Amino acid sequence: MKKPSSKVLIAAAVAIVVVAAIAAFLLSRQAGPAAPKVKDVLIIGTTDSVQTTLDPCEAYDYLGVNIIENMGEGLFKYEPGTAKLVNALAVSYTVSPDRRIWEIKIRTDAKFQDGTPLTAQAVVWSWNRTITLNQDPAFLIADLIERAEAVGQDTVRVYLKAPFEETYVKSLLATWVAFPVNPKTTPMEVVKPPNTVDMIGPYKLGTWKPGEYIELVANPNYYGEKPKTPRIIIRFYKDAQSLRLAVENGEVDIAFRTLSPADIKDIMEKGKLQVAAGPGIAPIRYMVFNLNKEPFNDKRVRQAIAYLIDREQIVNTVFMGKFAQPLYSMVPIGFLGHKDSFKERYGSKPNIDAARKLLREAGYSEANPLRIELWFTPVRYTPAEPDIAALLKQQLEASGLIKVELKSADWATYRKLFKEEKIACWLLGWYPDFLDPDNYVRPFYHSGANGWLHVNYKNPEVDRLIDEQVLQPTDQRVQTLARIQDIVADDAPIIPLWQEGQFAVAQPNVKGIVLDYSQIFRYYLLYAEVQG
Amino acid sequence: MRLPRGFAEWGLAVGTALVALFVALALAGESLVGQLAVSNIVVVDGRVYEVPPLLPPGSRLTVGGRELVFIMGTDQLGRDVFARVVSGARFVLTVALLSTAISAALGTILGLLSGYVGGFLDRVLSLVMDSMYAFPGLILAIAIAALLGVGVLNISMAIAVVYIPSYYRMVRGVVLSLKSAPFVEAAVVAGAGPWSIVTRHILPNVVPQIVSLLPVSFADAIITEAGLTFLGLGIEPPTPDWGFDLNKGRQFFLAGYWWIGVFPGLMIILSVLGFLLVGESLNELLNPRKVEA
Amino acid sequence: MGLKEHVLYRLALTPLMLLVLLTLVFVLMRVLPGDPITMLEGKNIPEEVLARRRAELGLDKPLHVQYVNYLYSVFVKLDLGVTALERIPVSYLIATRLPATVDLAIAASLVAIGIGVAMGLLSARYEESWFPQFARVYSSVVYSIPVFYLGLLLQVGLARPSGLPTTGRLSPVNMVALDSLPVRTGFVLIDSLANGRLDIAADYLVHMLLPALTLGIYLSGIFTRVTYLSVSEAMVQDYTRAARARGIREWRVVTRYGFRNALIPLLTMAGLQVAALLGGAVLTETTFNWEGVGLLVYEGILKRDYAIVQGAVTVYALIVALVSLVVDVAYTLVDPRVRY
Repeated sequence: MKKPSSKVLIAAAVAIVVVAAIAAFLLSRQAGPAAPKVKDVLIIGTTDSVQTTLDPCEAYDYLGVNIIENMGEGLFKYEPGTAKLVNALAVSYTVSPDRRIWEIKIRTDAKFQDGTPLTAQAVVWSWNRTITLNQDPAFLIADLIERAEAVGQDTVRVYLKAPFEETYVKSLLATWVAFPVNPKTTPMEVVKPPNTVDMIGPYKLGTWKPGEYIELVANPNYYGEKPKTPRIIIRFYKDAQSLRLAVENGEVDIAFRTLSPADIKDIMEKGKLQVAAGPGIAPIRYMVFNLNKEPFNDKRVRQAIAYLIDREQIVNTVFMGKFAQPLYSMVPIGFLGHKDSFKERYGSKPNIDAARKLLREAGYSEANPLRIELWFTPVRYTPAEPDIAALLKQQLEASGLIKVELKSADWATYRKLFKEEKIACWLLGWYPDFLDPDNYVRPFYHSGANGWLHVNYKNPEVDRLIDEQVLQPTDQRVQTLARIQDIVADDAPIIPLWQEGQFAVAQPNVKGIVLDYSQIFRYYLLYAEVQG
Repeated sequence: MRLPRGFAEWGLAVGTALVALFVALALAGESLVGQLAVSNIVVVDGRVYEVPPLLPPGSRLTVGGRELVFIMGTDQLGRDVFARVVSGARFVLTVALLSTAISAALGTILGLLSGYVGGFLDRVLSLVMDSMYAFPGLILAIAIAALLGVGVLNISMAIAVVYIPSYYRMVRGVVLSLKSAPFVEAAVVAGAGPWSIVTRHILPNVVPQIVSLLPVSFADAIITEAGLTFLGLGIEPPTPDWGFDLNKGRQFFLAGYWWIGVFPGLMIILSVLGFLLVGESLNELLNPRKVEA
Repeated sequence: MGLKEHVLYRLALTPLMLLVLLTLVFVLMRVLPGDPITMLEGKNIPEEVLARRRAELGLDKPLHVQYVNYLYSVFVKLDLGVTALERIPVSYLIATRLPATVDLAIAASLVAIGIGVAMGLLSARYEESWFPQFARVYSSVVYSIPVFYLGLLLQVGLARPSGLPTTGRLSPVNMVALDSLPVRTGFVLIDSLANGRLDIAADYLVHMLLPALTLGIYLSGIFTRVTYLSVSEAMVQDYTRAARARGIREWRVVTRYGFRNALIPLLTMAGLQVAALLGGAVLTETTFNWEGVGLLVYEGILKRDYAIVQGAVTVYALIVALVSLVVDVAYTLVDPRVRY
């Protein structure tokens, strides 16, 4: 018998290896030893990524902050399922009559991951570290606190920079930036990947492979309730399609942020996976003008555009009517003081006649239409951004008096363009730093704080009202906020468009998914039952 | 006229037919279907109608007494996919033409210079071109496209840069082998200046090689353009473009709306195939391989 | 010059080539609007913090100073720097991602060569039948299908119905398990086998199936043509006729005598395709979420992370230079007529 040629041998070897691999794979998927009642590891897939580090003094992106929220805790926190702030590491607090000094008593039974007990001194040290290192989000604490000192082991005395309103202060102290870190093990510099600092929380960091996954394991020294699932793996995906395939395939247990609306709708209809929904405020989307540039320095032009925008068409077409809500104010629905000012002023359906009237007054006609460039950035927010821009163009041109040219750039270029004030009309989104209406009003409308946006909007009355509202007692504050929203709706330097809901797609046996206004996805509530 | 015989002749026939179809669409398409490709608004007798999105292929819509048929369905904004496919041809063909022209022209000039003049210039240029050639082309194109921004000319230039080294190498090779050919030596002895030698003796021999490379160049340009627009670079909505629509289609594919991406994808395949067949068949017919029985 | 001199010459040329490429990349990246810190903007970060970050990265210095500093750190200190925002050492990042791209390139090449050579040989053997025409149509069609399209079709048509994995290199649990193994080289197959974890190795092979098939099929067309052309040319040579006359079976004639002639062109092609593989890998890696260097570079360009792009280009250039050198040396071994 002739010797088979080497080529055939190689081919046979390869074939055997491949077949063996497939067989091994299929075999490994069958039932192993008796499964536990609750799965000991849950896998979460996401298209987000950690933009900088997991050090709370520096992290400032959605995923980084969310992971820190699962590994650490502050003086106050949001009660799951609500937007209410409750005590966490704080036990009680008193506020001085001039509202400038807070005395906060903290828990005595809390310990860091290495067993070191929490003391007031540790809290003060942590805040000082954040302020000294002065990284991206440090201003959240630095603008609030004049200084802080420890009174005994269990009381922190805080001197505020101004007599701020109570919920405002608590919401800032609840941010991750104010989480206490272990003074014994934390250096006075930013802790780089793949490490992070020692905090007090249900999980601690296991293995972190940047760009691929982050593993969290239960923290045995946490004073509170143990997390339901001892291990969490967060797996990164590059786009919504890969994520969808992975969750349908069982490779991940939960897919959270961000699947496309069409895919979620399709998954809902197929009914094999569960879809959990929650109110969304991150991001809110809006159109902004540079008021130093023609023609947007003319209020009538801005108002005409506000009359022409059809938010419902965008929500129904791009978001399938379910996954976003039209937004009629920069203060989102569900927040203290929210008012649908744009709806009251301009209506919820496009008003072409009113728009045409304003445009004619401003000097435009069919022969001499208003020509504008509408800019957007394709990847940063939603993959449907080009579609949204196309719809807006259609809506504005329906007036017959406007010609829209659509232009786009990747984020880095885009940012440079509006920073250098080369463009005058563009789309943006906003993620809140902390959950207070001030964070939706001051950065946009206060001339002392909206420099980053280059909207060049300066209204002294609005400035005054914004300064006042954060210092007023709550019911007065709501009134002031209402006035602010009405004025800025009329001035229309910025047009709010929509807010997107939160959606999680998961295997049917996953429980404990809570999506609320805090926008925090709490891994420690998640668990999945398996047949025992 | 007889029927084509053999692979080369069949290839040429089919390829030419595909290319002709493609060119026809590019030239005439937009004027035939124009508006439907960029907007879902249809105006009939002065009344405005909106075409619904995501209609499957073959859907019919009665609008103001007229019946509209969407043989390839509508996309996620209600635009006619057939119209987009047809209109996309213009953009793609223009980009392919421009980028091939630029890379061929620049590559040839540089190759001629380098090959004929030689010396230090040749060494430096060869080094630069070899480095560029070694560099993964798509990444170079991505960087340049991101730099230049959107537009037909910009994306053409981004793609052109990637293929300059190929033309350069080929032309330079021909020039080097011709430089020592007897007829060139004779011309030099006769006192002809370098310019006339290059244009009268060398260039005519280079041209056939360039021409044979052109169709494949076209095909490559179309594929690279599809890759760039697939990644979101170089194009502005609502301009119809196959690579861009393929990306859009991918986002909707899993949800069951297959027609948004499949039809543009088919067009890419057919147009590339057409150019490829023309190029290869021409090559084979012009330079037949002698096969003895 | 002899072989040794040629190899030395090529090795000496490599740093020069690297210099050219790095300069090209430096210019491109710096000219692109925005810088790594721009990615952070759009939030409420105070200007002074941003300015400080820029200074930390040396972005406030004049361009030529940055250029010289960078060249110095690469060529003298052999340090590729850290990523701008995450502060991860670039060499670490590339070292952990490179094996994935290399594995994909090798697997895809195997598929491409396998299919290509098989089809080429069959075409030469059965020259009178319909097979050669089919093979030529196949190679043209396959070249025309965009890689990402093919990938998507395979994902949806093959993986989804059969339950095969569609994305990534390993299941997430195995990814974590792999990283805690004691013996690590970075190459999944080696690591898993060295540590006795056959299940991880199997998982990897199964995950690699689709991406390798996608990229491999795409490239197989070229190898089909090359094999067919060289083999059929050899088939009409005198030595082949002599072999047939001696009574050697036709199939053997094709594989032993014909194929030898194809080796050099195949090698050339393989060498040339390395750059194509590394570039095409970007699209394949994106489609299949295969965490290799291609994806890293693409994201680096968008994030304007100079360090990553420059670092990756350096590594690519080195790989391409090395591979082409190896291929050229292999020539001399295969064909003694080739001299340098």
